[in-house]
Amino acid sequence: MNDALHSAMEAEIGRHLQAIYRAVLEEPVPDRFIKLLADLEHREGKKQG
Amino acid sequence: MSVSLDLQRMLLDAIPTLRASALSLSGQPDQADDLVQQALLKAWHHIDSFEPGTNMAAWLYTIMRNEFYTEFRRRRREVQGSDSAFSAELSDTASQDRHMDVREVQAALNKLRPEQREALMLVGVWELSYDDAAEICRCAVGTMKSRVNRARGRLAEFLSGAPGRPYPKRTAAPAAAKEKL
Repeated sequence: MNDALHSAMEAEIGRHLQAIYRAVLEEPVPDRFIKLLADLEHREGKKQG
Repeated sequence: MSVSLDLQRMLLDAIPTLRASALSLSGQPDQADDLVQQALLKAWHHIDSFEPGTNMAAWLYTIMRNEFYTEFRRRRREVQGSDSAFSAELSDTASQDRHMDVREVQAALNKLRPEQREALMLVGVWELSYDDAAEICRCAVGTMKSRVNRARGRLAEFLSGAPGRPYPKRTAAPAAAKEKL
């Protein structure tokens, strides 16, 4: 593969990477994590109360 | 461990970044969210070691990558999972504006070594400097640079189908092969 093709491909890879991870970054936080934090907080409240 | 509301908010805000990072580490969505969960649990119980004013996402990430590599080493000899599930799922979420290219890139990403995928993510997606990325991974800056270069080079090879490269032919294009069947 020549250098020009190689760097064009690297630029393309960069864009794809951004697209792939952006899809996850833009998803709302799944309920399981909101529930996890709420449960942890709830347990603390019980312990201290 | 009591965690202040401010810190809880910061944990919550860091979750999207953490999920994307977990995906890049593990290459598999189910495993990725489990990793995030483990990291959050650990972070909650060790919240005192978080230094206020520093980057919460980066702190969580260092916890998560520790978990991942501990687990990764433990499971190293077990059968490796297929990457096709991840590719399929991604193509669902990302197919609105991108097409088959995303699937190809993801399949190629999954063939990289985890530390190469991680290097690409930290430098290419988080846009960290090589110095910062090296600090997170506790490696030399030169090592980080060479991981990024190697990862980019290998991806380019996978995607161009360059012949005579040292990866098994049978796994060269699992997604494409499946579609034909």
